[in-house]
Amino acid sequence: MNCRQCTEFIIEYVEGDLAGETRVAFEGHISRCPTCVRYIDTYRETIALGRQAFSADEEVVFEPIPEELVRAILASRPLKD
Amino acid sequence: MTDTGAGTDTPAATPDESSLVQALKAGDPAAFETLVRLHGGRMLSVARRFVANEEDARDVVQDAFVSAFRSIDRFEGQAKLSTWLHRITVNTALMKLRSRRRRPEESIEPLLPAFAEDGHHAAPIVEWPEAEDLLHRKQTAARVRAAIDRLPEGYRTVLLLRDIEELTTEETARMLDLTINAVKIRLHRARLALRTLLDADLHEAGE
Repeated sequence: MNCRQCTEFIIEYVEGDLAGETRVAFEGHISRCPTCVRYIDTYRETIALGRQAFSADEEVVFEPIPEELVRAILASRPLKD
Repeated sequence: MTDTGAGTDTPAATPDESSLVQALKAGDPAAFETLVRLHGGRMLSVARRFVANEEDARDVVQDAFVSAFRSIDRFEGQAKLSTWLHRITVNTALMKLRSRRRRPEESIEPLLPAFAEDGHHAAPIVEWPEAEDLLHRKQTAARVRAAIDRLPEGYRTVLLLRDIEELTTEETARMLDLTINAVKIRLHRARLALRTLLDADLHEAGE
């Protein structure tokens, strides 16, 4: 397995879905290839940073909803029978 | 659906919330206004993740509230209002994207990793600096959000649903009318592309 092929299988590897001969070949490659190890590390970090980027929203004070949008929403409210 | 940013783990409505829900079910106009002011800002920020322009994001929020108003009778108070509204907003944003998806899709190829002829990585791969302090973390979060915005739509949507909303592959496939395999391929490419964008960004930031 080379780096290009290894890259194809990263998603299955990080999600624990890689099995059998492919897993053996994959692990064989990364045991010899520090470049792919660093690539996989940064792939995992990409996922983690994506999650963080939006959970950090918790700390962001949301802009209030624009006044004209409030009015438009209230005007389009379906009336109760 | 995991409700990133609104907390699915916190169960049920608070007493204040259940009186708001009662007022909404009774058709009290003041309660509707309270709901819009309380949750509209957060819903707008969720809508902006999915749709490209501000006008569309506002349309999504407006349509989401109309659906919410229509279905408030079916809201059972098992979830928090914020969680329920979040879910409606995501669904409404996906409908908006479907109605708009007519342009040829931007290619993701330029953002995928490059390999030499022998299959080795064409460029050196270096570790990323850690963002340890709060200010740094906040800047990083803003950079990541901007990078996600730069992904081609069909990839960004899959990444948002799988990695941010934390839907399963099956749920994502159903919502986007894609095969499971197509979702996996898109998610993998979206992550590779996001990694490429962040790699450039984080090093620039570290210098």
